[in-house]
Amino acid sequence: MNDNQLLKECLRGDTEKFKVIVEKYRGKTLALAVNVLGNRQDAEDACQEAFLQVYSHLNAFDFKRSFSNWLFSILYKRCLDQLRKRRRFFNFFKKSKGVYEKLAGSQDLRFSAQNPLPHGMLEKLSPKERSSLCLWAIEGYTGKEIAEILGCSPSTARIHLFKARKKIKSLLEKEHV
Amino acid sequence: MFKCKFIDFLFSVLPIKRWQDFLVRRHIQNCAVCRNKLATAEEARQLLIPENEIENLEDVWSAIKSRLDERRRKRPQTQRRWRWAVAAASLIIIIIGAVWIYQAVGPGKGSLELPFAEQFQINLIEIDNQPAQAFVYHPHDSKTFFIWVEKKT
Repeated sequence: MNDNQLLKECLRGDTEKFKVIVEKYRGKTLALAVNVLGNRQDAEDACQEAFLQVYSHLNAFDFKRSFSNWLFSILYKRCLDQLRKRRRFFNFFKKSKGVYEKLAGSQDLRFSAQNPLPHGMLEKLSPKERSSLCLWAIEGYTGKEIAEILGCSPSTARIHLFKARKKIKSLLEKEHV
Repeated sequence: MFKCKFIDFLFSVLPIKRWQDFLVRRHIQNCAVCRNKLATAEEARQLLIPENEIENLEDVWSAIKSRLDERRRKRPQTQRRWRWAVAAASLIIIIIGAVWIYQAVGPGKGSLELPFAEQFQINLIEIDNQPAQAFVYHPHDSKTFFIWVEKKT
């Protein structure tokens, strides 16, 4: 059964067929989310949200489009939501830490906040650059397909990819030196 | 080499995506020196986490299923709540409508009462104990009446 047949069965109310879809794409979606977010827990949340959104908006799916592109575009938006949430949390955390430090004097308060991004080269890239790099290198997507997922023009997607590749290369060269 | 530097300059001096894309497609993709400054897919894959390195994938479906079940359980409750809200809103609209109609058409008021002009009538006018002929003039859009009375000849 291909994706479209499975989706049509889902629309008839067969949840088991949706399980097949989730099992087919869970690895790919989780890999993309982990690479964009750099955190397994947030990536799982983003994936769950994406699959739930797919299930509840199945009747809006255009069967002429590629399902994987649609799923990835939803996942990308949910990843951005996670990043926004994280930024809000860190802003709040910074403020509350400042206030708490003032109250507690010069004591060393060991706040163990989760690092917003994984240590390494990927943190030097913007979420758009990470997403395009991931889609290009792992999924083998073209600029046009990346653009469909990121919701931008193909030229913009190609530039995101170009910048990501350039940054990564220079970082790799610096590391070797 | 000079051309590559010039292209780099043009790329950074005008940060418009279409322009940059034009430069990339026109020069950078075809120039071996510039291409060497870009990471290959293989190099990028070394930094990224591939699908086969993701463990414990079983949790994904179980978490989604439990959330789908939770949604299904919540939906009838929300529908019931909506039904009550719609019924209450309709009742309020009916009551307001009824009060408004009563105020507009109720006893002692409203359009069921005849206008002043239609109520006006003369039963009998006499001059010197003899019935007289009466003429009534009612100017348009006015509450004033002119009555002309003549003796019957």
